[in-house]
Amino acid sequence: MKRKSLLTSGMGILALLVGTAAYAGIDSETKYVFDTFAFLVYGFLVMWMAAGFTMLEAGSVRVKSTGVICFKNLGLYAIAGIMFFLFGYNLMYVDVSGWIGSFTLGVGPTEAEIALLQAESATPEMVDAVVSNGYASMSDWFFQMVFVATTASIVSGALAERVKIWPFFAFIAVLTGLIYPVVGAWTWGGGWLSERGFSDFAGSTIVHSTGGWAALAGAILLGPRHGKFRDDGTVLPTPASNIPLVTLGVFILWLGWFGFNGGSQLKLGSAADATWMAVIFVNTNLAACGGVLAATITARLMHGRVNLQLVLNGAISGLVSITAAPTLLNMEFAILVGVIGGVLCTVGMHLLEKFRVDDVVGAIPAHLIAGIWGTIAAAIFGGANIGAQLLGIFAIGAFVMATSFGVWLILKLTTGIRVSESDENLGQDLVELGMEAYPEFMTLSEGDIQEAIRHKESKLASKSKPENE
Amino acid sequence: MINMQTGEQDGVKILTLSGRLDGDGSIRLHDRINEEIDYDKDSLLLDMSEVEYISSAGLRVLILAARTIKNEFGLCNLTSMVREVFAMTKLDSAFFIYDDIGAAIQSMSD
Repeated sequence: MKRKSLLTSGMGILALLVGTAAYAGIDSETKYVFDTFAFLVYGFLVMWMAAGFTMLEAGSVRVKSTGVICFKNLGLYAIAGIMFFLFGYNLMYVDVSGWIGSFTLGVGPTEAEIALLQAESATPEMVDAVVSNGYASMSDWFFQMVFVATTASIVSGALAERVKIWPFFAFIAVLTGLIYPVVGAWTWGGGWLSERGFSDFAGSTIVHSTGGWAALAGAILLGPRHGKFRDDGTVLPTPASNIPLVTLGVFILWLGWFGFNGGSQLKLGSAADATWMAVIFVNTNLAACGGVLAATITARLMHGRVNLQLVLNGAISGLVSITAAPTLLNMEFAILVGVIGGVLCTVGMHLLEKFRVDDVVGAIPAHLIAGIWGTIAAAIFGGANIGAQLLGIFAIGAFVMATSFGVWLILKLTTGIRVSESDENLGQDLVELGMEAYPEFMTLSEGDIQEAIRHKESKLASKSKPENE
Repeated sequence: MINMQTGEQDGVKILTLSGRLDGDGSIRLHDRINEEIDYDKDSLLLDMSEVEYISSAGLRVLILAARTIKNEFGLCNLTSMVREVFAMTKLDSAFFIYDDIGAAIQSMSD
């Protein structure tokens, strides 16, 4: 069993009770083509979210770290793709017995598919053998793979500007090859959490909170950017270096989310599935709209003026919130789910600063807090069992937090996980890549220059030595 | 591409630079300073007479050097391009800048 909505099964039971004659639907090969097509198209929409995360993060960091954050996003996508090919998919979906799937290496088309692909002329038996699976096996692999990349992207934003490239990639390999697949196996792979009735349609908890927990563990062990939290209790403002880029990133993510949630219907080969997808699209959109407006108003009330970065994160948190149950038929509830997500995210950003956790892009409030809320909202508005939802949130939270903390700690004790203070000062682009993201622009901040001038003045004062110009 | 030559005069270490202080050149300069300089003891003079170009990366490396070298850190023989960048960014007030090596050594070796 893969992802399945409670509402979908509920409607099926309702149809049986009413006792109308079953409608046969379109022929199985056409259905196979539509379902496979859906996996591939929605999959590449989700793949495009990697671009959204990259733009969001590249615009959020200071310019001296822009190149490295682009590299990390590209690298993590590549690592996620290979790890999920080698181990992840099999651990998550193949022969899952409660806790974990199979430890076999690699994936590929089924025997029936290979036979069909290599046949000089296909026989009806060959086609039937392939079609009976419901969809092309590699289309499912692709669709599942792009989700693990999303989990990994969440981590890079939170830890930006100070986590070393190589330990970061090592963590991503463990996250995408082991931690995420185990979490996925518990529910989407048909494991113990799905047997308890835990419901997470497209992954508020499984994808987004998992990324959020992994990021939180890293952020705690890594510590804040140098100078972010001052001794006097004030916080160094680190405004986004490029607001249009962050906005573009948010719109790309919003677009990709139609694939993320819509595609998680997993089928397009019937009128019912197509109708569900349409409902999911609209709910997804409504929740994001609610998140934006709620964050706008909350930021205005909390800070006296609108804070665009909070509003942009409001869109993301609205989207994350609706991800556990985008199948709501009372669509006004989708707005409410997004609104509450937007408020929680904005308050969460504030709380993180209070606890001196430096999350560069606000990924932890937007993905972890909104993810938890969305999973609870699936019980409040979507009919999921609240006990099962809470069990899932706690079990997955505890597992991901413990394993992530362990991996980050091992890396910290062996290779070290953060760049030196002087390297952080110079910027990771220069130190780790020997390049600048915008070589033709003056990218020193007013603060950098003033601090340099102050330093000279204090040196002059301490030596009271005349300058010879 | 940046070329660097090390020298020493009256107890002041001198790095003579030629080429471009862009991303690649700047990090090479940073690494070279790291290798050659004892931040607690040495004084360093950068002879910039052959520096054709300096980017923000180059400025960051110079600012960091000024902050981390406890003793004297000076710059001399600035080309007009570098002078212009310093003037535009107001960084001319952030460094000890000398007209030539002689003036620099006289001041720094005191």
